[in-house]
Amino acid sequence: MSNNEGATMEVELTPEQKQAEERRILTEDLNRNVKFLERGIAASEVHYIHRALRTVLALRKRLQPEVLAEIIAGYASPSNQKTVSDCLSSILEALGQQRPAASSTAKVCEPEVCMYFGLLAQLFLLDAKEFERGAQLSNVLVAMVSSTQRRTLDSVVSRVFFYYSRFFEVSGHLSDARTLLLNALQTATLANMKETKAMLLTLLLRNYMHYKLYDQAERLAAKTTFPADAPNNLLARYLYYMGRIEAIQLNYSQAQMHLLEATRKAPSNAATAGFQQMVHKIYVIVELLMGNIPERSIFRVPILKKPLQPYFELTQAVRVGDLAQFQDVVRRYQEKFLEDQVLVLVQRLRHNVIKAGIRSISIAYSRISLRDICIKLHLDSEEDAEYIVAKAIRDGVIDANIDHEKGYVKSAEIHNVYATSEPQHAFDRRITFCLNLYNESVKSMRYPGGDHRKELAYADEAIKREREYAHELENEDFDDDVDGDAMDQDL
Amino acid sequence: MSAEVEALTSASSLISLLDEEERELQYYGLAQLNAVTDRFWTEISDSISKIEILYEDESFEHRQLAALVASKIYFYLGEFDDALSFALGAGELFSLADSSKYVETMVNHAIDNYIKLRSSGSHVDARLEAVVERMIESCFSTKEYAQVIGIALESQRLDVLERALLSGDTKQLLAYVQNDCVDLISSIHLQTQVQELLVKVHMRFDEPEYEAICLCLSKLSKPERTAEILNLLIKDETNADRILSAYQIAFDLDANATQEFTKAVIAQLDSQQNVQQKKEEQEEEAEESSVVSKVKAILSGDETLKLHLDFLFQNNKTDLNILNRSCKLMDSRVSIAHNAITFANAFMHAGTTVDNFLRDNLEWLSRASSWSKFSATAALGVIHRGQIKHGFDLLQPYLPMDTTSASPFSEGGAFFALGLIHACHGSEKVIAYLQDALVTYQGQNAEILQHGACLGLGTAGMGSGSEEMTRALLTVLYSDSAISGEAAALALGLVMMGTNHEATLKDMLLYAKETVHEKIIRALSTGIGLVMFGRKQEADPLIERLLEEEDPLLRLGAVHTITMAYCGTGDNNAIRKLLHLAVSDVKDDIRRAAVTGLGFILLRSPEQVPRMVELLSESYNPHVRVGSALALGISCAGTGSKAAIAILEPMLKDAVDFVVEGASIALAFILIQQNDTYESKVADVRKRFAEVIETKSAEAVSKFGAAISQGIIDAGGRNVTIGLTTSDGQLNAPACAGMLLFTQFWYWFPLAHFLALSFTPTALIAVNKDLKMPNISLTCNARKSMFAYPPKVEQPVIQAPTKIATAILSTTAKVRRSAAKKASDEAEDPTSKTADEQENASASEPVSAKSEESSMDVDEGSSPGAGGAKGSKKTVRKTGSDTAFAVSNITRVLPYQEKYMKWPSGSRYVPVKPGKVSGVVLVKDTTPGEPEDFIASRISEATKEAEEEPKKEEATVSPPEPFEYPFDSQQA
Repeated sequence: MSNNEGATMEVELTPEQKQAEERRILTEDLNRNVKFLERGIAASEVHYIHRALRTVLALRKRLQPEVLAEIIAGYASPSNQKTVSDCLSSILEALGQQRPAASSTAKVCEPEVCMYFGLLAQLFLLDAKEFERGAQLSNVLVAMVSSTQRRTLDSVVSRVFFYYSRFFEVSGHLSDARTLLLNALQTATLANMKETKAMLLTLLLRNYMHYKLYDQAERLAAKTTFPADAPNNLLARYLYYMGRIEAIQLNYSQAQMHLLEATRKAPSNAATAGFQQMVHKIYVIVELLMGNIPERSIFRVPILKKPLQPYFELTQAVRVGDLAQFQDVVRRYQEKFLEDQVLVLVQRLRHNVIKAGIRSISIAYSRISLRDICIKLHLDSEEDAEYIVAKAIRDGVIDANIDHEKGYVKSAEIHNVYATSEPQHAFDRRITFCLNLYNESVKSMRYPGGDHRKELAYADEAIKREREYAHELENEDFDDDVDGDAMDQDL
Repeated sequence: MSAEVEALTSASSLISLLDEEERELQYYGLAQLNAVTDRFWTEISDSISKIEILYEDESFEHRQLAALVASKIYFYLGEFDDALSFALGAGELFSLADSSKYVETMVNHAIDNYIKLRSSGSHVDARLEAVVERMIESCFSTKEYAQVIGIALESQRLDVLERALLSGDTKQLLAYVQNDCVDLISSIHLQTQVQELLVKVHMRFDEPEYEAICLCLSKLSKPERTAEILNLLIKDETNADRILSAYQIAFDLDANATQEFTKAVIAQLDSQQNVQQKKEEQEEEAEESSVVSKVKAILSGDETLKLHLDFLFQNNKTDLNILNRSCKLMDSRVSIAHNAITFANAFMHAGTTVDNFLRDNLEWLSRASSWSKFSATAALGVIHRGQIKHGFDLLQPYLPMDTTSASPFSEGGAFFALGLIHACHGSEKVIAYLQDALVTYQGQNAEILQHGACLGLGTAGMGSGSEEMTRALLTVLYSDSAISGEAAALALGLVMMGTNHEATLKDMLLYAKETVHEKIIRALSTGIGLVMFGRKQEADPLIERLLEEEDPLLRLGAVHTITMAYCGTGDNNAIRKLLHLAVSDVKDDIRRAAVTGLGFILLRSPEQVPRMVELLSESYNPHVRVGSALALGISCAGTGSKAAIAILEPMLKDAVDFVVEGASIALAFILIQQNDTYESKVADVRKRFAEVIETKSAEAVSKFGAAISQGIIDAGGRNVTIGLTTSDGQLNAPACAGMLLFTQFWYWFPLAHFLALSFTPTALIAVNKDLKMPNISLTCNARKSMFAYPPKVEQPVIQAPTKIATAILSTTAKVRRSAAKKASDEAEDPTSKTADEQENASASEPVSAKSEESSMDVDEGSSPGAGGAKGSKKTVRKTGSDTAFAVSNITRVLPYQEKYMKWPSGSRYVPVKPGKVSGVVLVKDTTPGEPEDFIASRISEATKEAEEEPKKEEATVSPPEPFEYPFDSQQA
């Protein structure tokens, strides 16, 4: 593909020639991907199918319905299954192309290949803003899935479902998709289609959250298990949604853990910038809600710096415990927070600001009168201050005593943390994390049986293949993250 | 209404209806919930207890609805057991007519549960049964009989099975059950019931398939009814077809059934015949009895053996060069090397009756001492296997003359040889003789003689279940001699093979705990395994008991018992047990035996084995490695499986000598009878064997392995394969036993001879109603070179010192030139022409003579007639380079060749059993009037016959001249 393009760049071409050349290249690429799919089906090897799917986004930009229709015509064999041939004709219809007559020379179309064509058509329609037709086509494709269940279909189908949901979302009636997604989830669970199941779970969570049905979303998550070996992209999204749900439901420590993991699982490249920004926004707030101050370095990352500016200021306000500054920030960026759907969470922070203030006071002063606290924190009355300090003491934010008679707060002696078992626990937590990470990476490594022998015998071939792979990866430039930029658009 | 439901975002309002006092409201709530379970199951599942309470409330009218809702919720939660029990509680509301995922899953789960409950024998819920019944009915209505049969067999519902068989295409379904299902049933009891049912269904036809029935009956071990059927078939001697099929049945029975069974059938035939004869007239008797006697002869195995012997002898293509070379390279003074050559020779010539090698290498032979002498003598038994008529004559020189013994090792070996000749076909005479021998010889060397006699008795009386033999063997066992006791223990196992005879087992177990001789315990553990052969679940209690023993040798017994009881079943439990033992037991012997056992259990599905043992074959433990090699060899024997070869090839370079040995043997098993064209690795492997033998520094054990592998890969003059299953797909019990005992050569070399029992001739032998072999030909639609014999190894030509070219002086050259010119002048003369011609003739003569000689070389030891036949065949081979070629009667048909073989349409002879292209095939003469052209048997029918017709002697071969092993010179 791209190397072909490179070769043609040299020569000056007329626009017509250029167009013809583009078409030729597109045809070639499509045919090659279909070949990958067919090989994957024949060998029931999922990685071939992944390989075909990896280039989907690159193809998306230069997709031409005529070319696609031409290739589909090559698969209109009379010996196709009925569902497949129906599906093919509705793809053509959606693309606005002529339906070819079934010819005996055509190749038999596997359901996977048919779904692949469907996926490309979905992309085309999405880009052409033909949401109505796209939704119709998606319905046909999804209906076909319920009749055919194969392991090799898994990856293709999960993407089809993504765009299915996407069409409903952009056309504004996402709730209509919910019933079907729930049914599909059950089907995928029974058929053990892991990737599809993972995709459907994230789509459903998104669906619920779109309508702020956090309760339903939480129940769904509690009653289902996310497939352990789902792709990282999906896992990251799932963790993000979980983090948000938990944050809303006051379960901050869980939320923090999930969000942190989401930041780590998400591929760190430009394609997923939107996702990373969004996760970090929530993460910062959850950290603040937990009484921690997020690290400064987060706000320095280039892709995060600008969008996280309001959150940075928020953090500063909380850190200092300056209520006035906090309220100023909230007022200034209210629109922004609303857009990010975090205003509820931000408002909860007020309490934290006060707590942070109390803490810094208790550290700075060994004894301070309630009146001074009142002034420092801009509180309304001494009584208020007393209540708030009492609450802080009970919550373990500070270690101090209130002398009600004389009206002052006396901080307890500061413990030497290193004399306690606290550092030990901290170490333990970190070590456990590292060990888990190690175990997971060991588990996810795959050694195909007996392959080492083959590798030895055909070492040269293996090296050649490796090069080819590397080359391809370079060219494709991370477009395996199909979901990333779609998310980018809508977040 | 539906629009209202669609708009719902939460089911909490509906759930709260359940808390109402009013029954009506609760019902309404349930009905609404039932409609929305797919969307709100997550929410409803939080209040599942409320729904359950409603279901348990007896007074609630709609409790079934509550059950249905609860069932659906549990289904979504993935708790299928709970879901099923509630679905059953829902009664009629749970409708099978729906094609939803929910119903589908529930029905599947119900069937699984039903099968589990039925097979464990526990009580089955009537409601569950009703669901399954409904499912079965729906299968009947859609004519999915194979599915019904599957459910019926697994859930042990014979009534359903019978109904299914009768409602569909009965013949096809019967064959399906017989061939594909019966062997997978793990309970012997159920298997018997199914077989009985099959016979019952078969009998409903007017013209039933007697062959299939007899196969069932042989498995049921019902000799009376088999005999009845045979009698029925041969009653009317005018009906040639029926008589032919009786013969075919008899041949098949002989191949598939145990010795015990065939003997019982013969006895039954006798008694039934007597009853009939009384009624019938005297004249007919003679005619009748000839047919009967033929059937009896076939059943007793005499006919098959004769035909096989004939085949093996006629087609013998042994390459003596291989053997000679190995013999030269191996130091015969070392007993392991001597043994290796003995076995290689025995295997190469197994059943061919060709013992030239021994005759040619008398000096080598004389170096055998003690037990290698025993093996060497026993090798005669392997070579002459099946020559039951001449068994005694052949061995006369070695058998002890009187009650005193002169050379105990060779005499003991001769006893064993006698047993091998009569393997599985022990005539009364032989058995009585060997039994006597057990008692007669006492004294100093008696245990060696008894060792031989016990092994002989066990081999000859294999699977006969004779109490008398058992008693004699037990007496020997109780004498507590390590040598004779070991053989007696093995022989006990062989005699009682597959009988599960309780008393014998008890005796063996008790004695195994009593004796101090490890040899005896080990042999008993093998013997116990043999007694449990093919008993599947019946062996489980014994296996459990033995597994808990502290004595590793008894645990070894457990391994052998699993191996033999589940041989060829592919039973998952047995595999799991063996795999567990293979990695967890502390004794290497047990690990090795356990891995080897996998090969036996999976011998019907060889494609599974390479995957299973792949990791084991790379184990750190060499015993596990050698075990996995043997497992591959045994299960993939004769298949040429590429996956297996890929695992075994690197093992040929293993650092441990006995792993190399095991890998060599396994490769030989796998590549037996294959040539370069079919499997390109053959040449490499053969070369590798030769290399190992040539390498001076190679370990003795590796060399031993390579040498006997050379024997195995070219076994039986290349006309036999390892047939652990018969051509009908039945388990070949003697072959399996032989293979198990062969693996015991690890402990005791002479046991390697038992491999001869696993050799099955790969022959096409067509016989007509007189059991003569007509001259016929079949077509094989494949390239001939795929099935050709491997080429002979070239004798390394020793370069004779060549004459140094004499210098030619210019003068002599000149003289020569003038002479030549003169000669050419003369050549124009007519007179000189004749002289030239003469010269030409004389020059060409030696050439043709030479070529003849070379072809004679090939046929060394066979008659000139055989040579002539070969010559004509060679020309056929040359012309048949295209895709199809003709295969004549009594020639080799390889197992993988069978699928290309075809009976030509419109030929004179038609097989009785359609499509059968290997083994003994009875053919029907479509034009009985015309004179027939027969292929003469080259093994003499009897010496008497030969004397009467001296002319014929040329064509027949008398038993080879007895020759004596030159042992005595070495006798100490």
